[in-house]
Amino acid sequence: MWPIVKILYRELHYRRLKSNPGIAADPGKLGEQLKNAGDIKRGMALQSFAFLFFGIMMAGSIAGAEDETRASVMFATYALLPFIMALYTTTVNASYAVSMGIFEPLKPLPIRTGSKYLSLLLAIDNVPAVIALLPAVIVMTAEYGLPGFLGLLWILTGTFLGHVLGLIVFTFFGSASVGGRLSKLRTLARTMGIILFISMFYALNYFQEYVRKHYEELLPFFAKYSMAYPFSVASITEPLSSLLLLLSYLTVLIPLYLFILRKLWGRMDEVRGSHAKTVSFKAETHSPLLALLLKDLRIAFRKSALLVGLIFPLFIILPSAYNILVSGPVRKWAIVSVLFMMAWVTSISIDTVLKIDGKAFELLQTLPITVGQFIRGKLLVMNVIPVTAAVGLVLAVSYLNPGEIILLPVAIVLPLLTSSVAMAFFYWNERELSVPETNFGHVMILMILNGMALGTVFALWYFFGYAYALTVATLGLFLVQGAISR
Amino acid sequence: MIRVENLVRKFGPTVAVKGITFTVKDGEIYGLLGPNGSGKSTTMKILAGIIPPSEGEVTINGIDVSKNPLGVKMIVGYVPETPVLYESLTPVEFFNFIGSVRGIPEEALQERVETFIKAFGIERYLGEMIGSLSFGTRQKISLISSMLHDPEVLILDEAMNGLDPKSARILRELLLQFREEGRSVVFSTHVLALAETMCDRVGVIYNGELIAEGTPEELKEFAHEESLEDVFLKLTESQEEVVGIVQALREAL
Repeated sequence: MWPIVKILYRELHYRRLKSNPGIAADPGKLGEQLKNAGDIKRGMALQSFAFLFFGIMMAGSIAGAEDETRASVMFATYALLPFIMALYTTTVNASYAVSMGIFEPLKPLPIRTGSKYLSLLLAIDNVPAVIALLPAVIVMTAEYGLPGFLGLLWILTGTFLGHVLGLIVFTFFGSASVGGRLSKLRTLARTMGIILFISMFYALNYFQEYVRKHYEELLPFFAKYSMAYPFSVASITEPLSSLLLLLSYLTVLIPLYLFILRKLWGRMDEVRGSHAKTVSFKAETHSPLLALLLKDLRIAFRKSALLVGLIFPLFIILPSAYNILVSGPVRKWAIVSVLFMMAWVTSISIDTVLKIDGKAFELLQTLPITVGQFIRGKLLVMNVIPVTAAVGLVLAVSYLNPGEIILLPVAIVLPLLTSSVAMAFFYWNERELSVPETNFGHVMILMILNGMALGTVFALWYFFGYAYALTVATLGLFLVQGAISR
Repeated sequence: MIRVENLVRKFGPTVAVKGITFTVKDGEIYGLLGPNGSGKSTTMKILAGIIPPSEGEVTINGIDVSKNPLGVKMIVGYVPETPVLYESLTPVEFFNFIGSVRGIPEEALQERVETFIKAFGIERYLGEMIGSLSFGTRQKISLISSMLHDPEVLILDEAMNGLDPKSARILRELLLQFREEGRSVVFSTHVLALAETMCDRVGVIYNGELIAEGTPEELKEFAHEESLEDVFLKLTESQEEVVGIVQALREAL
């Protein structure tokens, strides 16, 4: 099994590198890059090393916690990282790996459950996030003993949970389908289904809060622990209960995983349902930029696994935004912090938008599209969901407090700024259409860069006022746009 | 008119195309023949402005592919050897996307798409996702999309692959019409009988070098052979090899 996974891993990275003309034109360079990117051990070591930096920071904060309860709550918060990464990489990379056609050579072979290769291939990408949490585990174990070890088990379970959920999303929403009766409605339903699906852990937590308030005497267990991951990780302070909870998770997850693996292999096609009625051609042209945007959105909405990558920023800030809207009088800085957070996480989706084209990227290279048009098209795709959400939030808050409407420009400028920084990071001096190698390590570096940019804007806002910060952010946006215009 | 002078394309230390020179006149169908890996597809990609040459000069109707690849892409229609399409779009969406990117006016796009989809008989697939269609239908979509902008030059890399006899015939007629209108066509094929009947001139590429060029008749005369297939095998030093392989296969099976 392992040799096949190694071949698939190398093949996936080889095809990715081949779509970059600068690398593809030089076999020496290609071989050199492939040595790092296509070798599982080397790739994992490099990424894990980058992640360890964050891991040590997290471990430091746990070491500084005043008591075991606080340390465990902190640990539970950090446990979200491997879960999110597993969910994200599984859904987005599953779609990408299939769209690159790397499983096609396996299909004619007498393999019963080929999906296990896909599963393992995707699980490899989750290793760095688990390793990032190891320093925290070591600190927890050194300070408090058994809870640290339980924490490790919870992290592995959380990663597995994210992976299984990702496989479910890909299996049931991953292949594109179009046509038939009410196809638009079905696409909308699928999109809503995915949003609800990945939000269910927040929903579970809110449900639990409700239970706690109303049935405290009857349900002491609920009152004490949250059952939803990652909140459940905080239970490590009571090892027996935590272990039972963990085993309950695995009792559900393992059969679910085996069931999904069986389903997945049959569904690993780029395109599934295509129940089209006969249609006639109607010409509808747009500007090249809009055409690129519409094309990407159509593909992402049809291949919902890609959609997960696009709505990820929404998933991360959803609870904070919800809290603002339901927690009584609107606090301006609370909204501002959500807008900054939204802008900060917008750049994560660069990984997804660059994977939308898959193998069809070669087609773009035959068309008269400039690098500038390509970059701007991808920028728009990255911003559609975060900007709509940020503007929606400001409008909703303005309904409660009309004065907050002045935040509207910043709700647009900040995500545009961070996504432009992302494009500048990956396309600096690039003169040809290409797809750069993006992994979570790159995204992390990008997050630091954007954190610095947003930190500067926030400091200006805090010390000199909104108008000054907005002006500087807008100027920054134009500056970065100028740098990436071709 | 296509002018290729001393074209060299290197991939690191590997030289895929070694100083090729040829010209394709207006109103000419030029066949590029050669065994697999000889450098045909690389040459065609350079002509289409997709990859730049390492050395030499290539101009398409006066536009230098190194200096203005975008300008070349505007006037060239290119069909790759395997169709590369957005599989989760429908043909309708795909043609509209191509039309938008190429700046084709709606009216012209409507007219051209309607003409081509009727010609290639793909009307009933317009609402289906491209990924669910057969290889042949995808090849037809690839062909149609390469001609939507009314290109001045057509570059077809094994474009007949997967086409049914009717569609192959239609494509042949289309190419002949292209020639009559004074446009240049470069196409590669392994069906040498087709090249013999269609091409005004043929260039044989072997190991990245243009080893022979001329009309099919001139090549047959030059090689003292009766068919282009025999000429090809002789020029690429495969004739004796093929006989030996066939003999070995007969013995082994």
